[in-house]
Amino acid sequence: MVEEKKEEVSAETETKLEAQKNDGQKVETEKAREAADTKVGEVEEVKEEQEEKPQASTLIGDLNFLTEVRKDLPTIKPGDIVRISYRVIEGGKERTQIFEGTVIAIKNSGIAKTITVRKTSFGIAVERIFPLNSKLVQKIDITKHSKIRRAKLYFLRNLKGKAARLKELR
Amino acid sequence: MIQGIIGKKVGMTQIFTDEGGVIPVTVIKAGPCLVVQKKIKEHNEYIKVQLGFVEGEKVKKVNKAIAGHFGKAEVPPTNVLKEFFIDENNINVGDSIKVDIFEEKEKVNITGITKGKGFQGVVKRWNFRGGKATHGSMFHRRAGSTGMCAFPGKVIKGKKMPGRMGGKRKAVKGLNVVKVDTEKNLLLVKGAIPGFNGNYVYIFKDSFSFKRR
Repeated sequence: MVEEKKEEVSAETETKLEAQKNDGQKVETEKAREAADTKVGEVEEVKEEQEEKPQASTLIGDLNFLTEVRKDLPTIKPGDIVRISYRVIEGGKERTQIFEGTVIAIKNSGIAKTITVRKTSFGIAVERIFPLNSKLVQKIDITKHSKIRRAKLYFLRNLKGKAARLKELR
Repeated sequence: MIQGIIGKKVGMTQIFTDEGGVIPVTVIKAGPCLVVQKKIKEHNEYIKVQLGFVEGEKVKKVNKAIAGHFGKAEVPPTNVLKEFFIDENNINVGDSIKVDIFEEKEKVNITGITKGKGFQGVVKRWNFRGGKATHGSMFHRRAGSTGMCAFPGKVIKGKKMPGRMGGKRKAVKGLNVVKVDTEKNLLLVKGAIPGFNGNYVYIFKDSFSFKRR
């Protein structure tokens, strides 16, 4: 809750013009991103079809119905800043919690895919691993993309403060 | 009730529960199996049925002896045959045994041939602890002493030593059935089972108790 307030404050301090500019650019990048996503998805599908043809009669084909991967989530890349809403069950009661941070690693593929999200709150860094196909993950929003040069951003663990920032991809 | 069924290991995957848990499961294509032969042994007081594991593809190379065996039962030839006990005389030749003999949350014992590991030392094969890596121990992954002195003057039989590991029949007991798919003849059990993907395995009901008649 405290973090959200901080964000609001910072947002207010920014001038409105800047905010508008940022919004516009965000929308553009999002559109471009979506287009890229769809392209990637198409390519993957074609590949799958090609592979499936010779394997049609093999046993592996039978596993596909079990490994139904969620399609409602956006394609996440390392360096993205994401807002994850996930269900928390405490004492028989359910509520939604939000975890916001940088994706520093994507592991596995298909049904076992997980992302490692790192955030710093009150000077203490917290990392959490989310299985993307878990039923506890409700929604994932990507707020920013970062310019990165490697797939695993573990070097962020050794950096603090200003040095731990990533350059935003526009 | 029949004691078990023949299956084929498909592979491993994950299942997510509503509470957020993850269950590692092995998928087995279990059955359908056809009863090829029935053996009633009055002397030994048991009834066994011989099952043939029906796979999608037709078995092409069949010699006359095998063809005759299957022809007598009027069922198509299969690659695998295995006998299972039955506790009541209610299964006949030609009947089809399917995966629906199992229920969810039931315990099963699964037998298969493990993956061959080749010639392995005692640390991997028998879980010996080995020696220190450093400090000049000069004793790293060795077996150590294999016996006593002039008496008994030999190495006792069964001494754990390096050798061929894996590729043997092994049973895993008490696996929980997570899901039974009767349409696709699939059985999902929690945990790992012996062998490569595509290996034949025998699935036994844990609750089956053989009573002498």
